[in-house]
Amino acid sequence: MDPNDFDWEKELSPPPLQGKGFDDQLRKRIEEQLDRKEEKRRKRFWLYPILCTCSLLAVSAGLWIAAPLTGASGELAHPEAIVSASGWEEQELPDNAIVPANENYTIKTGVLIGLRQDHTSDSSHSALPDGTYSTYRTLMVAPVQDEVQVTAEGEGILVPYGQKFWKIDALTHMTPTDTIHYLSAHPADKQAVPASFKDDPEEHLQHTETLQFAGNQYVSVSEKESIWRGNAPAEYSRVWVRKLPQMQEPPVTDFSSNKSDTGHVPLQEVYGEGVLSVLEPLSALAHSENPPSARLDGESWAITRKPGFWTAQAAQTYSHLGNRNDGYTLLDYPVPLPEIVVNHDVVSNTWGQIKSLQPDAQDVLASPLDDLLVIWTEKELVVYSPAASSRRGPLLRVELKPGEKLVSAQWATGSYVPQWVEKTRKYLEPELEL
Amino acid sequence: MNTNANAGTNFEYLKYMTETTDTRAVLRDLMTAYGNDVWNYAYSLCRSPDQADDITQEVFLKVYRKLSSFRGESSIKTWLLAITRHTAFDMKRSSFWNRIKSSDVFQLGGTQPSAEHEAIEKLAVNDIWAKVMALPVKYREVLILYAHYQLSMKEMAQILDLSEGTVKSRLFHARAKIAKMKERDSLGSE
Repeated sequence: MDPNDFDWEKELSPPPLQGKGFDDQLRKRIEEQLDRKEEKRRKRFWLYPILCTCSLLAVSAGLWIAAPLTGASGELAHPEAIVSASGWEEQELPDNAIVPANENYTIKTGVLIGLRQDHTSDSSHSALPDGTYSTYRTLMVAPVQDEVQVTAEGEGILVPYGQKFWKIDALTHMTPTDTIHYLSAHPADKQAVPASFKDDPEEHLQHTETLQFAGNQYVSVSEKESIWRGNAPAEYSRVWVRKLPQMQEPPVTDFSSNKSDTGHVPLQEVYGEGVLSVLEPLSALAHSENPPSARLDGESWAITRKPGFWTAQAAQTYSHLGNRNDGYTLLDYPVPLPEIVVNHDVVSNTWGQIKSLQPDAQDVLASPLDDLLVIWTEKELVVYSPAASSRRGPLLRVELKPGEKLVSAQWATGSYVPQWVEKTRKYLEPELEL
Repeated sequence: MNTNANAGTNFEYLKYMTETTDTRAVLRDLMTAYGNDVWNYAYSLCRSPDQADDITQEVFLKVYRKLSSFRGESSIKTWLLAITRHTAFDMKRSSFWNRIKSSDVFQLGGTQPSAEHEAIEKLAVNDIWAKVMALPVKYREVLILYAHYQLSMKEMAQILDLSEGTVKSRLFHARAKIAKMKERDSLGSE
């Protein structure tokens, strides 16, 4: 038979299958699925603040209860299998997301993971409560010669910022009467410069800054301060989102004297002018114990972690006890964070699928190319690669310290992976560069 | 044949429709015009009518969300077939999650279990389709996109994310394989 005889190709003109194809039943099924999704979307926007009230209202000292937000079907996070960083609609898949599973697939992704562990410390005065402070570490997880491994690990939180890396260090300033745990950001190729603080020997001060989220532009920080000046102690709690360079400035202490804060980013800067119209109905749902003077104006807010995604929470701030007790209540802001804050926050799998791999999964990160999955359990991180079908088991397990929490996750793909492997090793393990 | 000469018209039509009309109505028009094209391509990739239904549903749900992102760099049909291929591979990857049994395996390559092959042969509309469906997917695809969808080399390269040279090479080998199968058949009947 002459391979140049292509007349037989005409026989491929009709469809391949007899009696089956795109029929009315399939069309109806698609329409019904669209109706269900649109109905869910409508309900989600209006019910979100009410759901938040039932599950997430916090009490004065800035505590909040994070409940996993799963839909009725057990799906992850926002009750859709695919969570978008840029809006409620599902995110457009990038052209390079086509990852056919095959035995020879090469993983093309790395991830920089920032972790925080909280500790308690003895107070500097019996009139003050025990203090808290946090320690931080960053891991770089990437494939090296086809093996996924921790290629660098070190103290502090390392994040990409522009074309460089910056580091956030936890520093402590101590005197006989004061303990100040604060955060300081700096370019990673420079050293942290400790701040100086005025010391008043007549007062005992405990001040703690805690990092909740570090992105490649914005950070979310909570502040807690206890002061004793020979009379009743005063306690203050605040929460802010700042731009990374603003963390170079020394922290403001003595909240009783310094009520305002100028170095922060209001919600309006991230979400636009429509913020107040979103906050207004939330005010009505806020904690009833907050005084009538409590404010919910978008100035104070936080970025926190829920299972599977990052979320914005607006803070309603208030003062009690004649200004001796300032605090805030966090309320879920019902609009997903934009990409400028979290540039990749998508998990295209359901909780059912995640738990089929790790029944004790509590949280999960997925790479932009869907070739790496990092699953959190109470004690460890477990890394899988859905794209490499021959590797069905975990590729890597990393032990977590007790209570360690995720504060940062930054992805590198393609040619950026080896660059990040090299640079993170330099900044996190400088002793190895000698 | 859809060529990029028509892409501008297609893009302008789609842009106009999504900006001025109910998006659902646009989707209905697309399903009417291209539903069978999408389903047939999905079926030719997965060789299962039920999975072709699932893939087709997912494709049009994605299209509904992505209507505003269609940039007119290809024809609408090429765009839809590219999404179909992407979706089919995604669902193949999802077998990682579902631990699908071997009888349900979504095979995009390699040889088929003989029972499944027999079923596809019986259902195939003609002998040539039966032979094409028996080919490994990389040869099956190029032949179907060329002979059934009558796409140009450029359009096929866009959908398959390959160079035109590689597409031509695969088409050559696909035709050679079909020729060999026809020759085997004719020898067997002598």
